[in-house]
Amino acid sequence: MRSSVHPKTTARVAGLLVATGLSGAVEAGQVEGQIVLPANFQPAAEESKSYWRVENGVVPVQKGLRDPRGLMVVMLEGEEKRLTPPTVHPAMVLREVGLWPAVLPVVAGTTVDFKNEDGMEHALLARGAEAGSFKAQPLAPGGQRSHAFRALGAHEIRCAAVAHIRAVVLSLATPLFSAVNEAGGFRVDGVAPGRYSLRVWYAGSYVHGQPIDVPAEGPVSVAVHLLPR
Amino acid sequence: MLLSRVWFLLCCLFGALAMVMLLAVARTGVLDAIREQERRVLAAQDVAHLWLRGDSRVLMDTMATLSKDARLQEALDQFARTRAAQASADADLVHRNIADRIAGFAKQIQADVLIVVDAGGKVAARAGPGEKTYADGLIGYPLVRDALRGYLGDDSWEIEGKLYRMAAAPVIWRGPDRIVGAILVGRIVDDAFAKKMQKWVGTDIAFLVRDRVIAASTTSSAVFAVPSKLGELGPSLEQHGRSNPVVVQGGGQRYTAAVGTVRGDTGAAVLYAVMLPRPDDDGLGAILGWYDRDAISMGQPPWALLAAWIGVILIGLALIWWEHVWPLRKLVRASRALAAGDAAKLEDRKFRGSFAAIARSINEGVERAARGSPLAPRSLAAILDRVPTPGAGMPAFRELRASPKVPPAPPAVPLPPPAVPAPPPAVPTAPPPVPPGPPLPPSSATIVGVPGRRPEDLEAEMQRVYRDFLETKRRLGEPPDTVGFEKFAGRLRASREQLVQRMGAKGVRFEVYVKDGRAAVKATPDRA
Repeated sequence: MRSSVHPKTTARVAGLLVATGLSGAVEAGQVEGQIVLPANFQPAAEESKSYWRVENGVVPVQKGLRDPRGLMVVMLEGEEKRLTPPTVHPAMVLREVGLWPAVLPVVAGTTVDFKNEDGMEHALLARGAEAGSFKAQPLAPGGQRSHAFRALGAHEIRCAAVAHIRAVVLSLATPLFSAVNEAGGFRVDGVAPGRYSLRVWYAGSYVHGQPIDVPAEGPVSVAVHLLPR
Repeated sequence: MLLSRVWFLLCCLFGALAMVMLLAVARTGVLDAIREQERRVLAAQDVAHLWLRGDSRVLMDTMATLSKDARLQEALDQFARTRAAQASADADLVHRNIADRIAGFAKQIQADVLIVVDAGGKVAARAGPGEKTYADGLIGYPLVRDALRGYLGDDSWEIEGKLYRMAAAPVIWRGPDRIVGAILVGRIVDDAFAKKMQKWVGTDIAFLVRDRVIAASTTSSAVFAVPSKLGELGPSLEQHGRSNPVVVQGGGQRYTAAVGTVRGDTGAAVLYAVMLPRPDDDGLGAILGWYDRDAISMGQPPWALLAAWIGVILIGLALIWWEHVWPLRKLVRASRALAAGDAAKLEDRKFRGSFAAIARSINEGVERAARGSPLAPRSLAAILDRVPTPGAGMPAFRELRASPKVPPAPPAVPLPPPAVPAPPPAVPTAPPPVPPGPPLPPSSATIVGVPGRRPEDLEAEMQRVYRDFLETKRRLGEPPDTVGFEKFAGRLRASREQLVQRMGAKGVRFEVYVKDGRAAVKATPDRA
């Protein structure tokens, strides 16, 4: 997976934001933008692991029920700040035999609540750095469990009962981040003036990075053009 | 000696080499068999993969056929609309219609699970487990998401602790063309499924979900040892979807197993293991057990080898007989002859090596004993040399007297009185006493040789002495001597002349007497 800073980022931002209808909402201390995918972008989830995956031959196959940009995270990395986990716990929800959202960015040390709103029992567990402290435990329908993710990086959450259930808690060393919606838009609030590095995380790795300057006054709008995967 | 030793050495080397070669050949056979079995297991792994792929295709095509059912398409479209309108009563009615429809499908295709979902991934109806429930969402399943996007596909699902092979197809409403839902079928993976698959694959097969065995074609407890290997096989399974053969053991049975992933969005959670009973490859018994009966049938190389081996042994035994047994027997015969007096000594020239040394040693011992012990040689010449004399300076016995071991002359030897003017022609004398041993019959003759007599008389006396000597030997049971009269008489004359010259005797008397149980001749100078 390659990443690059688009050379004409600044020039394109204004027109792009106008086109997406996001430009009017930008305020001082905010970094807002849009992720643009290339035409031949291959989502990570497109690779089938089954024996067969055949098009129906009658109607065209839809691109996907979820845009891959909905699985991306944008973050700003700048001067070191003391990380303060939020007092309100973000949540991941088990529903319709899936775990939502598929990617949850948090500040390192944040406690995440896992709620089972499905009709069946699940048993969530973490792989990687948090595997030792987040082991599989039965989680009955309507139940909840919480876990503080202190280690930095991506923590894959799986279900021991239903093998295909997977989601990621992305523990970051910066409070300046935003999940990207399926239209590709993102917004980071509370950004102090200064120079930052904007990075985009997708499917286990960083796929884009570019420097941005946040002025003392006025909004910042960026357009992020990803390279083909 | 040397040849026997060389033969023994060669025999040992050959035997050891043969043993090593036989074991190596057998071990090679064992290893070949194991490698062949591992190849079979890997081939079975490929067959299992293809079989599962083919089975999935059959399920998927079946769903493609069922998805064309017009009533189902229409019902699904209605179901989505009623749900959107939150008309639960209408939705329930449509659900029952769809449920009735797919119940017939399930019987028709012998499906364990049949599920129909609307375009939002909500269950419209089920046949099989949980068929009373509907409107729950399954959009979390990648198979459902893909079907609603327009893909036909397959996957593995674990429902209520049981594993199902699933396939799905989109349901397309044909006016205008759009996807209104999807239909999914599931076949349970149980022991019956494993046994059915075993017939095609040719090996035992087991299915695992994570570290739990959920179905197997065999009841061997070795199957339950497969999960313990997953730790070491994990990287290979994650990367390649299959493992190399491994040995699993349980309940005293050993299997060669190869594990593969059942493809699907479950990743490496659902596995299958193809297994073959592993040949015993430990210990000498296991190695020998691998010899084929045909390989040791008549006319095969092992028998030629055995014949050669027997030939080598026979050659060795012949060498032993030639080098050891035969010379030993010859030495025994010669020793008996020596002991019996048939020979004066062992002819060491007739022996070789150590036996010649033994013969020489015996001869030396006998000679040393003869010089220093009372045992006298049995030959006449030796007897004559050893005839004890009462007087000193007798040339014929000087040598013997000089030896400190020469026994003294018998004390009973009577010396004739010096005053006797002329010896009678034949004066009988009392037989000399026999020092040791039991009493024997007295010596029968005393011959007196008188100088000045006519040669004819002297010759007659010597013949009488000779006859008495032979007679005494016969009575004593001694073997007959081979010394002839001429030699006997020659020695007597020589002794007589020596005694006459050295002692100034006028004559010499020869007596036959018994000494130590043997016949002997005693010469006594006559000074009268």
